[in-house]
Amino acid sequence: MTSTAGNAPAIPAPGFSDATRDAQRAFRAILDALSHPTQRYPLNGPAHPPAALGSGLAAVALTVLDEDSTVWLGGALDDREVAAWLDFHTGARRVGAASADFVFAAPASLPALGSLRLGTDEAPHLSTTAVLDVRGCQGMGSFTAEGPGINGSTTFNAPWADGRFAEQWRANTAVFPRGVDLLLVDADEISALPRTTRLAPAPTDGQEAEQCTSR
Amino acid sequence: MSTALPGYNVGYLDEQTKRMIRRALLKAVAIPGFQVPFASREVPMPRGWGTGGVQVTASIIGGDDVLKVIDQGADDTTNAVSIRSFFAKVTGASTTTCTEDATIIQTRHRIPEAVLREGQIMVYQVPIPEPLRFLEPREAETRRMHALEEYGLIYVKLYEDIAKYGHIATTYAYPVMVNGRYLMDPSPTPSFDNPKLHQSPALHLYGAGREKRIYAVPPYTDVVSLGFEDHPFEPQRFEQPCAVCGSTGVYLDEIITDDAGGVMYACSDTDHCERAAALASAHIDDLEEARA
Ligand SMILES: [Zn+2]
Repeated sequence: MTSTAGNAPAIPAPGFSDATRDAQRAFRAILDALSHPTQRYPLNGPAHPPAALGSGLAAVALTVLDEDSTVWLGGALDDREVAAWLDFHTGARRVGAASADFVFAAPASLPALGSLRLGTDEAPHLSTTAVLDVRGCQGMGSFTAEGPGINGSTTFNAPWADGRFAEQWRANTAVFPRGVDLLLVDADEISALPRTTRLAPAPTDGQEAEQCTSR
Repeated sequence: MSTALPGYNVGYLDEQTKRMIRRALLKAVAIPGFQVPFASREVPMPRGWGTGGVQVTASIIGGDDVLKVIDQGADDTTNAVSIRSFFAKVTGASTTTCTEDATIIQTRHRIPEAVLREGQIMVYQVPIPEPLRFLEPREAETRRMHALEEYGLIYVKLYEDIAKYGHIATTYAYPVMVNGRYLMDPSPTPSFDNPKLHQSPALHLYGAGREKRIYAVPPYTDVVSLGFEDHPFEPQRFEQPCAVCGSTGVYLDEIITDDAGGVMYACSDTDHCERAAALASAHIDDLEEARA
Protein backbone atom coordinates (compact mmCIF):
# COMPACT_ATOMS: atom_id res chain seq x y z
CA MET A 1 0.00 0.00 0.00
CA THR A 2 1.52 3.35 -0.97
CA SER A 3 0.95 6.71 0.59
CA THR A 4 -0.15 9.38 -1.83
CA ALA A 5 -0.18 12.52 0.25
CA GLY A 6 -0.16 14.10 3.66
CA ASN A 7 0.72 12.27 6.84
CA ALA A 8 -0.85 8.93 6.03
CA PRO A 9 1.79 6.33 6.78
CA ALA A 10 2.88 4.07 3.95
CA ILE A 11 1.95 0.97 5.90
CA PRO A 12 -0.73 1.29 8.58
CA ALA A 13 0.27 0.23 12.09
CA PRO A 14 -0.42 -3.42 12.95
CA GLY A 15 -3.80 -4.62 14.19
CA PHE A 16 -4.23 -7.26 16.89
CA SER A 17 -1.02 -9.15 17.60
CA ASP A 18 -3.03 -12.39 17.51
CA ALA A 19 -6.03 -11.82 15.24
CA THR A 20 -8.02 -14.84 16.43
CA ARG A 21 -7.41 -14.72 20.17
CA ASP A 22 -7.45 -10.96 20.60
CA ALA A 23 -10.68 -10.58 18.61
CA GLN A 24 -12.28 -13.34 20.68
CA ARG A 25 -11.33 -11.59 23.94
CA ALA A 26 -12.52 -8.22 22.70
CA PHE A 27 -15.77 -9.74 21.48
CA ARG A 28 -16.44 -11.30 24.87
CA ALA A 29 -15.87 -7.91 26.51
CA ILE A 30 -18.42 -6.34 24.12
CA LEU A 31 -20.88 -9.22 24.65
CA ASP A 32 -20.44 -9.00 28.43
CA ALA A 33 -20.98 -5.24 28.33
CA LEU A 34 -24.20 -5.50 26.29
CA SER A 35 -25.45 -8.37 28.47
CA HIS A 36 -24.75 -6.43 31.68
CA PRO A 37 -25.59 -2.83 30.81
CA THR A 38 -23.65 -0.13 32.70
CA GLN A 39 -21.01 -2.60 34.00
CA ARG A 40 -17.43 -2.00 32.84
CA TYR A 41 -15.25 -4.69 31.28
CA PRO A 42 -11.53 -4.57 30.43
CA LEU A 43 -10.83 -4.22 26.72
CA ASN A 44 -7.41 -4.88 25.22
CA GLY A 45 -6.57 -3.42 21.84
CA PRO A 46 -3.60 -3.33 19.50
CA ALA A 47 -0.34 -1.91 20.87
CA HIS A 48 0.02 0.93 18.36
CA PRO A 49 -3.42 2.08 17.22
CA PRO A 50 -3.90 5.35 15.32
CA ALA A 51 -3.66 8.12 17.94
CA ALA A 52 -7.14 9.50 17.32
CA LEU A 53 -8.71 6.05 17.64
CA GLY A 54 -6.86 4.78 20.68
CA SER A 55 -6.62 1.19 21.84
CA GLY A 56 -10.21 0.63 22.98
CA LEU A 57 -11.98 1.91 19.87
CA ALA A 58 -9.40 0.11 17.73
CA ALA A 59 -10.24 -3.17 19.50
CA VAL A 60 -13.95 -2.71 18.83
CA ALA A 61 -13.31 -1.77 15.19
CA LEU A 62 -11.13 -4.82 14.55
CA THR A 63 -13.70 -7.07 16.21
CA VAL A 64 -16.93 -5.98 14.54
CA LEU A 65 -15.96 -4.35 11.23
CA ASP A 66 -15.20 -5.99 7.90
CA GLU A 67 -16.08 -5.60 4.22
CA ASP A 68 -19.66 -6.67 4.99
CA SER A 69 -20.24 -3.72 7.32
CA THR A 70 -20.47 0.05 6.95
CA VAL A 71 -19.03 2.70 9.24
CA TRP A 72 -19.17 6.44 9.80
CA LEU A 73 -16.42 8.32 11.63
CA GLY A 74 -17.31 11.48 13.55
CA GLY A 75 -15.27 14.51 14.64
CA ALA A 76 -11.61 13.88 15.40
CA LEU A 77 -11.97 10.21 14.43
CA ASP A 78 -12.57 11.25 10.86
CA ASP A 79 -8.88 11.59 10.05
CA ARG A 80 -6.66 10.19 7.39
CA GLU A 81 -4.64 7.91 9.62
CA VAL A 82 -7.75 6.32 11.14
CA ALA A 83 -9.38 5.91 7.74
CA ALA A 84 -6.27 4.32 6.22
CA TRP A 85 -5.89 2.01 9.20
CA LEU A 86 -9.55 0.90 9.09
CA ASP A 87 -9.38 0.41 5.31
CA PHE A 88 -6.30 -1.76 5.65
CA HIS A 89 -7.43 -3.89 8.59
CA THR A 90 -11.20 -4.12 8.16
CA GLY A 91 -12.23 -3.09 4.64
CA ALA A 92 -15.42 -1.62 6.13
CA ARG A 93 -17.12 0.76 3.70
CA ARG A 94 -17.49 4.33 4.88
CA VAL A 95 -20.95 5.80 4.45
CA GLY A 96 -23.06 8.64 5.85
CA ALA A 97 -24.03 8.54 9.52
CA ALA A 98 -27.71 7.99 8.73
CA SER A 99 -27.07 4.69 6.97
CA ALA A 100 -24.05 3.25 8.80
CA ASP A 101 -24.08 -0.08 10.65
CA PHE A 102 -21.56 1.40 13.08
CA VAL A 103 -21.03 5.02 14.01
CA PHE A 104 -17.77 5.86 15.79
CA ALA A 105 -17.82 9.29 17.47
CA ALA A 106 -17.03 11.32 20.55
CA PRO A 107 -20.06 12.71 22.44
CA ALA A 108 -19.71 16.13 20.83
CA SER A 109 -19.71 14.72 17.29
CA LEU A 110 -22.36 12.02 17.78
CA PRO A 111 -25.39 12.79 15.59
CA ALA A 112 -28.77 12.88 17.34
CA LEU A 113 -29.67 9.26 18.09
CA GLY A 114 -33.02 9.62 16.34
CA SER A 115 -31.24 10.54 13.10
CA LEU A 116 -29.40 7.21 13.01
CA ARG A 117 -30.75 3.98 11.55
CA LEU A 118 -33.29 2.55 14.01
CA GLY A 119 -34.31 -0.57 12.10
CA THR A 120 -37.95 -1.42 11.38
CA ASP A 121 -40.60 -3.20 13.43
CA GLU A 122 -40.06 -6.32 11.32
CA ALA A 123 -36.26 -5.98 11.23
CA PRO A 124 -35.22 -4.09 14.36
CA HIS A 125 -31.74 -5.60 14.08
CA LEU A 126 -31.03 -3.49 11.01
CA SER A 127 -30.12 -0.59 13.24
CA THR A 128 -26.99 1.38 14.04
CA THR A 129 -24.62 0.51 16.82
CA ALA A 130 -23.12 3.76 18.10
CA VAL A 131 -19.58 3.34 19.40
CA LEU A 132 -18.93 6.30 21.65
CA ASP A 133 -15.42 7.50 22.46
CA VAL A 134 -15.67 8.40 26.16
CA ARG A 135 -11.98 8.92 26.90
CA GLY A 136 -11.32 11.79 29.27
CA CYS A 137 -14.96 12.75 29.89
CA GLN A 138 -15.56 14.52 33.20
CA GLY A 139 -19.19 15.55 33.17
CA MET A 140 -21.61 15.05 36.05
CA GLY A 141 -24.19 12.85 34.31
CA SER A 142 -25.65 10.20 36.57
CA PHE A 143 -28.61 7.90 36.02
CA THR A 144 -30.57 5.12 37.60
CA ALA A 145 -30.65 2.26 35.12
CA GLU A 146 -32.93 -0.74 34.81
CA GLY A 147 -33.90 -3.33 32.23
CA PRO A 148 -32.71 -6.70 30.92
CA GLY A 149 -29.19 -7.56 32.09
CA ILE A 150 -29.52 -5.46 35.23
CA ASN A 151 -30.43 -7.16 38.50
CA GLY A 152 -33.09 -4.77 39.77
CA SER A 153 -31.69 -1.30 39.23
CA THR A 154 -28.30 0.32 39.43
CA THR A 155 -26.71 3.74 39.54
CA PHE A 156 -24.77 4.64 36.46
CA ASN A 157 -22.30 7.49 36.10
CA ALA A 158 -22.20 8.90 32.59
CA PRO A 159 -19.56 11.64 32.50
CA TRP A 160 -19.89 11.70 28.72
CA ALA A 161 -23.62 12.47 28.74
CA ASP A 162 -24.42 15.97 27.55
CA GLY A 163 -27.61 17.93 28.15
CA ARG A 164 -29.47 16.41 25.19
CA PHE A 165 -28.68 12.79 26.00
CA ALA A 166 -31.39 11.96 28.57
CA GLU A 167 -34.21 13.02 26.28
CA GLN A 168 -32.67 11.34 23.23
CA TRP A 169 -32.25 8.09 25.14
CA ARG A 170 -35.82 8.23 26.43
CA ALA A 171 -36.99 8.58 22.83
CA ASN A 172 -34.70 5.73 21.79
CA THR A 173 -36.14 3.31 24.35
CA ALA A 174 -39.68 4.42 23.48
CA VAL A 175 -39.43 3.07 19.92
CA PHE A 176 -38.44 -0.46 21.05
CA PRO A 177 -37.90 -2.94 19.42
CA ARG A 178 -36.40 -0.34 17.09
CA GLY A 179 -33.55 1.80 18.34
CA VAL A 180 -29.78 2.16 18.50
CA ASP A 181 -27.45 0.39 20.90
CA LEU A 182 -24.61 2.28 22.50
CA LEU A 183 -21.11 0.99 23.21
CA LEU A 184 -19.17 3.27 25.58
CA VAL A 185 -15.49 2.82 24.96
CA ASP A 186 -12.73 4.19 27.15
CA ALA A 187 -8.99 3.71 26.59
CA ASP A 188 -9.06 0.18 27.98
CA GLU A 189 -12.62 -0.45 29.17
CA ILE A 190 -16.05 -0.89 27.68
CA SER A 191 -19.58 -0.60 28.97
CA ALA A 192 -22.82 -0.51 27.03
CA LEU A 193 -26.42 0.59 26.87
CA PRO A 194 -28.59 -1.66 24.73
CA ARG A 195 -31.90 -0.15 23.59
CA THR A 196 -33.66 -2.02 26.43
CA THR A 197 -31.98 -0.06 29.23
CA ARG A 198 -34.24 2.54 30.81
CA LEU A 199 -32.50 5.52 32.38
CA ALA A 200 -33.83 8.03 34.89
CA PRO A 201 -31.63 11.02 35.68
CA ALA A 202 -30.24 10.77 39.21
CA PRO A 203 -29.99 14.01 41.18
CA THR A 204 -26.51 15.55 41.03
CA ASP A 205 -24.96 18.34 43.11
CA GLY A 206 -22.86 19.86 40.36
CA GLN A 207 -23.83 21.92 37.39
CA GLU A 208 -24.29 20.48 33.94
CA ALA A 209 -20.87 19.80 32.46
CA GLU A 210 -19.85 18.04 29.31
CA GLN A 211 -16.10 18.05 29.26
CA CYS A 212 -14.55 15.35 27.17
CA THR A 213 -10.97 15.77 25.96
CA SER A 214 -11.75 13.95 22.74
CA ARG A 215 -13.92 15.58 20.12
CA MET B 1 -4.71 -32.02 10.29
CA SER B 2 -4.64 -33.79 13.60
CA THR B 3 -8.05 -33.22 15.13
CA ALA B 4 -10.55 -36.00 15.57
CA LEU B 5 -12.59 -34.60 12.72
CA PRO B 6 -10.66 -34.62 9.47
CA GLY B 7 -11.82 -31.96 7.04
CA TYR B 8 -12.70 -29.34 9.65
CA ASN B 9 -10.69 -26.14 9.83
CA VAL B 10 -8.81 -25.41 13.00
CA GLY B 11 -11.13 -23.13 14.93
CA TYR B 12 -13.94 -24.48 12.76
CA LEU B 13 -15.08 -21.05 11.55
CA ASP B 14 -13.04 -18.47 9.66
CA GLU B 15 -12.70 -15.01 11.18
CA GLN B 16 -15.17 -13.40 8.79
CA THR B 17 -17.88 -15.92 9.62
CA LYS B 18 -17.24 -15.41 13.32
CA ARG B 19 -17.55 -11.62 12.91
CA MET B 20 -20.87 -12.04 11.12
CA ILE B 21 -22.20 -14.34 13.87
CA ARG B 22 -20.82 -12.03 16.56
CA ARG B 23 -22.64 -9.04 15.06
CA ALA B 24 -25.85 -11.10 15.06
CA LEU B 25 -25.27 -12.09 18.70
CA LEU B 26 -24.91 -8.45 19.77
CA LYS B 27 -28.26 -7.62 18.15
CA ALA B 28 -29.86 -10.70 19.69
CA VAL B 29 -28.81 -9.61 23.19
CA ALA B 30 -30.03 -6.06 22.56
CA ILE B 31 -33.48 -7.28 21.38
CA PRO B 32 -34.32 -10.11 23.81
CA GLY B 33 -36.33 -12.91 22.21
CA PHE B 34 -36.13 -11.52 18.67
CA GLN B 35 -34.82 -13.93 16.03
CA VAL B 36 -31.90 -12.33 14.23
CA PRO B 37 -31.28 -13.82 10.77
CA PHE B 38 -27.70 -14.79 10.05
CA ALA B 39 -25.90 -16.41 7.13
CA SER B 40 -25.43 -19.85 8.63
CA ARG B 41 -22.52 -21.71 7.11
CA GLU B 42 -23.45 -24.73 5.06
CA VAL B 43 -21.08 -27.19 6.63
CA PRO B 44 -21.51 -30.92 6.82
CA MET B 45 -21.68 -31.93 10.47
CA PRO B 46 -22.12 -35.17 12.29
CA ARG B 47 -25.75 -35.78 13.22
CA GLY B 48 -26.73 -34.38 16.58
CA TRP B 49 -24.08 -31.68 16.67
CA GLY B 50 -26.55 -28.91 16.01
CA THR B 51 -24.93 -26.56 13.51
CA GLY B 52 -26.47 -23.47 15.10
CA GLY B 53 -25.27 -24.21 18.61
CA VAL B 54 -21.81 -25.20 17.44
CA GLN B 55 -21.48 -22.03 15.35
CA VAL B 56 -22.48 -19.89 18.33
CA THR B 57 -20.05 -21.68 20.64
CA ALA B 58 -17.27 -21.39 18.04
CA SER B 59 -17.88 -17.64 17.82
CA ILE B 60 -17.69 -16.96 21.55
CA ILE B 61 -15.27 -19.52 23.01
CA GLY B 62 -11.67 -18.73 23.93
CA GLY B 63 -8.72 -20.33 25.65
CA ASP B 64 -9.87 -19.08 29.08
CA ASP B 65 -13.23 -20.82 28.83
CA VAL B 66 -14.35 -24.00 30.55
CA LEU B 67 -16.81 -25.84 28.32
CA LYS B 68 -19.51 -28.29 29.32
CA VAL B 69 -21.62 -30.04 26.68
CA ILE B 70 -24.79 -31.97 27.42
CA ASP B 71 -26.95 -34.12 25.22
CA GLN B 72 -30.28 -34.63 26.96
CA GLY B 73 -28.91 -34.12 30.48
CA ALA B 74 -25.86 -36.28 30.03
CA ASP B 75 -22.23 -35.32 29.55
CA ASP B 76 -21.14 -38.75 28.40
CA THR B 77 -23.04 -39.40 25.16
CA THR B 78 -21.05 -39.73 21.95
CA ASN B 79 -22.20 -36.33 20.68
CA ALA B 80 -21.44 -34.48 23.91
CA VAL B 81 -18.01 -36.07 24.19
CA SER B 82 -17.01 -35.34 20.61
CA ILE B 83 -18.22 -31.71 20.65
CA ARG B 84 -16.33 -31.13 23.89
CA SER B 85 -13.07 -32.66 22.71
CA PHE B 86 -13.36 -30.89 19.37
CA PHE B 87 -13.52 -27.45 21.00
CA ALA B 88 -10.78 -28.33 23.46
CA LYS B 89 -8.52 -29.22 20.55
CA VAL B 90 -9.21 -26.25 18.32
CA THR B 91 -9.51 -23.49 20.92
CA GLY B 92 -7.40 -24.63 23.87
CA ALA B 93 -10.43 -24.25 26.15
CA SER B 94 -10.63 -26.67 29.04
CA THR B 95 -13.66 -28.88 29.52
CA THR B 96 -15.71 -30.07 32.44
CA THR B 97 -18.80 -32.03 33.30
CA CYS B 98 -19.36 -29.91 36.42
CA THR B 99 -22.05 -27.28 35.90
CA GLU B 100 -20.61 -24.91 38.51
CA ASP B 101 -17.16 -24.92 36.91
CA ALA B 102 -18.35 -24.24 33.35
CA THR B 103 -18.24 -20.80 31.71
CA ILE B 104 -20.04 -22.04 28.58
CA ILE B 105 -22.61 -24.85 28.57
CA GLN B 106 -23.82 -26.11 25.20
CA THR B 107 -27.01 -28.13 25.30
CA ARG B 108 -29.43 -29.80 22.95
CA HIS B 109 -32.11 -30.47 25.52
CA ARG B 110 -31.79 -29.64 29.19
CA ILE B 111 -30.90 -26.70 31.40
CA PRO B 112 -28.81 -28.13 34.27
CA GLU B 113 -30.40 -28.63 37.69
CA ALA B 114 -27.67 -26.59 39.46
CA VAL B 115 -28.61 -22.91 39.66
CA LEU B 116 -26.68 -20.98 37.01
CA ARG B 117 -24.59 -17.99 38.01
CA GLU B 118 -23.74 -14.61 36.53
CA GLY B 119 -21.01 -14.88 33.91
CA GLN B 120 -22.09 -18.28 32.63
CA ILE B 121 -23.35 -18.64 29.05
CA MET B 122 -25.84 -21.29 27.95
CA VAL B 123 -25.75 -22.16 24.22
CA TYR B 124 -28.78 -24.01 22.82
CA GLN B 125 -28.85 -26.12 19.66
CA VAL B 126 -32.23 -25.12 18.29
CA PRO B 127 -34.08 -27.23 15.70
CA ILE B 128 -37.05 -24.91 15.00
CA PRO B 129 -36.71 -21.33 16.27
CA GLU B 130 -40.11 -19.97 15.21
CA PRO B 131 -42.80 -20.54 17.87
CA LEU B 132 -45.53 -19.61 15.38
CA ARG B 133 -44.29 -21.94 12.62
CA PHE B 134 -46.78 -24.74 13.26
CA LEU B 135 -49.62 -22.20 13.17
CA GLU B 136 -48.36 -20.14 10.25
CA PRO B 137 -45.91 -21.67 7.77
CA ARG B 138 -45.21 -18.44 5.88
CA GLU B 139 -42.05 -16.69 7.06
CA ALA B 140 -43.17 -13.23 5.91
CA GLU B 141 -46.38 -13.69 7.89
CA THR B 142 -44.71 -14.77 11.15
CA ARG B 143 -42.30 -11.84 10.87
CA ARG B 144 -45.30 -9.53 10.55
CA MET B 145 -47.01 -11.16 13.53
CA HIS B 146 -43.92 -10.60 15.70
CA ALA B 147 -43.71 -6.99 14.51
CA LEU B 148 -47.35 -6.36 15.46
CA GLU B 149 -47.17 -8.50 18.62
CA GLU B 150 -50.04 -10.46 17.13
CA TYR B 151 -49.90 -13.57 19.29
CA GLY B 152 -53.59 -14.45 19.61
CA LEU B 153 -53.28 -17.65 17.54
CA ILE B 154 -50.92 -19.32 19.95
CA TYR B 155 -53.27 -18.69 22.86
CA VAL B 156 -56.06 -20.25 20.82
CA LYS B 157 -53.90 -23.33 20.26
CA LEU B 158 -53.08 -23.64 23.97
CA TYR B 159 -56.73 -23.18 24.87
CA GLU B 160 -57.74 -25.95 22.46
CA ASP B 161 -55.39 -28.20 24.45
CA ILE B 162 -57.25 -27.33 27.61
CA ALA B 163 -60.60 -28.00 25.98
CA LYS B 164 -59.38 -31.36 24.69
CA TYR B 165 -57.21 -32.65 27.54
CA GLY B 166 -58.25 -30.52 30.50
CA HIS B 167 -54.73 -29.10 30.67
CA ILE B 168 -52.08 -27.70 28.35
CA ALA B 169 -50.52 -30.74 26.69
CA THR B 170 -47.37 -29.08 25.42
CA THR B 171 -44.34 -30.29 27.35
CA TYR B 172 -41.57 -29.39 24.89
CA ALA B 173 -40.94 -26.11 23.12
CA TYR B 174 -43.46 -24.51 25.47
CA PRO B 175 -43.73 -20.88 24.30
CA VAL B 176 -42.60 -17.99 26.49
CA MET B 177 -42.89 -14.19 26.40
CA VAL B 178 -39.49 -12.53 26.74
CA ASN B 179 -39.19 -9.12 28.38
CA GLY B 180 -42.92 -8.65 27.88
CA ARG B 181 -42.49 -8.25 24.15
CA TYR B 182 -41.38 -11.22 22.03
CA LEU B 183 -42.92 -14.65 21.84
CA MET B 184 -40.02 -17.12 21.92
CA ASP B 185 -39.51 -20.84 21.59
CA PRO B 186 -37.18 -21.96 24.40
CA SER B 187 -36.68 -25.15 22.42
CA PRO B 188 -35.07 -27.63 22.78
CA THR B 189 -35.74 -27.62 26.52
CA PRO B 190 -38.69 -29.36 28.21
CA SER B 191 -41.25 -27.10 29.89
CA PHE B 192 -39.84 -28.37 33.21
CA ASP B 193 -36.86 -26.08 32.57
CA ASN B 194 -38.87 -22.99 31.49
CA PRO B 195 -38.96 -21.42 34.98
CA LYS B 196 -35.14 -21.49 35.11
CA LEU B 197 -35.01 -18.86 32.36
CA HIS B 198 -36.96 -16.22 34.28
CA GLN B 199 -34.57 -13.62 35.74
CA SER B 200 -31.70 -16.08 35.26
CA PRO B 201 -28.29 -14.62 36.17
CA ALA B 202 -26.79 -16.37 33.13
CA LEU B 203 -26.83 -15.33 29.46
CA HIS B 204 -28.77 -17.66 27.15
CA LEU B 205 -27.88 -17.84 23.45
CA TYR B 206 -29.90 -19.82 20.91
CA GLY B 207 -28.53 -20.93 17.55
CA ALA B 208 -30.68 -22.47 14.82
CA GLY B 209 -28.33 -23.52 12.00
CA ARG B 210 -30.73 -24.91 9.46
CA GLU B 211 -33.18 -22.01 9.88
CA LYS B 212 -30.38 -19.44 10.16
CA ARG B 213 -31.58 -17.64 13.28
CA ILE B 214 -29.88 -16.50 16.47
CA TYR B 215 -31.75 -15.24 19.51
CA ALA B 216 -30.99 -14.55 23.14
CA VAL B 217 -32.25 -14.06 26.65
CA PRO B 218 -29.95 -11.68 28.54
CA PRO B 219 -29.38 -12.16 32.26
CA TYR B 220 -32.07 -10.83 34.64
CA THR B 221 -34.80 -10.78 32.00
CA ASP B 222 -38.46 -11.66 32.47
CA VAL B 223 -39.35 -14.92 30.76
CA VAL B 224 -42.97 -15.88 31.28
CA SER B 225 -44.48 -19.14 30.06
CA LEU B 226 -47.86 -18.55 28.41
CA GLY B 227 -50.91 -19.39 30.47
CA PHE B 228 -54.45 -18.38 31.35
CA GLU B 229 -55.91 -17.04 34.55
CA ASP B 230 -57.98 -20.19 35.06
CA HIS B 231 -55.29 -22.45 33.60
CA PRO B 232 -51.89 -21.03 34.53
CA PHE B 233 -48.70 -22.56 33.16
CA GLU B 234 -47.64 -25.62 35.08
CA PRO B 235 -44.23 -27.09 34.45
CA GLN B 236 -43.96 -30.88 34.29
CA ARG B 237 -43.77 -32.49 37.70
CA PHE B 238 -42.21 -35.76 38.71
CA GLU B 239 -43.78 -37.40 41.72
CA GLN B 240 -41.11 -39.95 42.57
CA PRO B 241 -37.52 -39.27 43.65
CA CYS B 242 -34.52 -40.30 41.51
CA ALA B 243 -33.87 -44.02 41.97
CA VAL B 244 -30.10 -43.44 41.96
CA CYS B 245 -29.50 -40.37 44.12
CA GLY B 246 -32.85 -39.74 45.78
CA SER B 247 -33.21 -36.15 44.50
CA THR B 248 -36.71 -34.76 44.28
CA GLY B 249 -37.93 -31.87 42.15
CA VAL B 250 -35.59 -32.80 39.30
CA TYR B 251 -36.22 -33.88 35.73
CA LEU B 252 -36.33 -37.68 35.49
CA ASP B 253 -35.75 -40.03 32.58
CA GLU B 254 -37.63 -43.29 32.36
CA ILE B 255 -35.18 -46.15 32.15
CA ILE B 256 -36.33 -49.59 31.05
CA THR B 257 -34.74 -52.09 33.40
CA ASP B 258 -35.80 -55.45 31.94
CA ASP B 259 -37.71 -57.19 29.16
CA ALA B 260 -40.76 -57.55 31.39
CA GLY B 261 -41.50 -53.82 31.18
CA GLY B 262 -39.83 -52.89 34.44
CA VAL B 263 -38.89 -49.21 34.65
CA MET B 264 -37.04 -46.92 36.97
CA TYR B 265 -36.75 -43.17 37.05
CA ALA B 266 -33.40 -41.41 37.32
CA CYS B 267 -32.03 -37.89 36.91
CA SER B 268 -31.52 -36.82 33.31
CA ASP B 269 -28.79 -34.45 34.61
CA THR B 270 -25.95 -36.92 35.15
CA ASP B 271 -23.63 -34.35 36.76
CA HIS B 272 -26.28 -33.47 39.32
CA CYS B 273 -27.05 -37.15 39.95
CA GLU B 274 -23.42 -38.13 40.55
CA ARG B 275 -22.90 -35.26 42.97
CA ALA B 276 -26.14 -35.88 44.83
CA ALA B 277 -25.38 -39.62 45.06
CA ALA B 278 -21.86 -38.90 46.38
CA LEU B 279 -23.29 -36.49 48.96
CA ALA B 280 -25.92 -38.99 50.03
CA SER B 281 -23.38 -41.81 50.46
CA ALA B 282 -21.02 -39.49 52.39
CA HIS B 283 -23.97 -38.68 54.62
CA ILE B 284 -24.66 -42.40 55.19
CA ASP B 285 -20.96 -42.93 56.01
CA ASP B 286 -21.16 -40.12 58.54
CA LEU B 287 -24.25 -41.64 60.12
CA GLU B 288 -22.63 -45.06 60.33
CA GLU B 289 -19.48 -43.57 61.80
CA ALA B 290 -21.54 -41.74 64.41
CA ARG B 291 -23.32 -44.96 65.25
CA ALA B 292 -20.09 -47.00 65.60
ZN1 LIG C 1 -30.31 -38.69 40.52
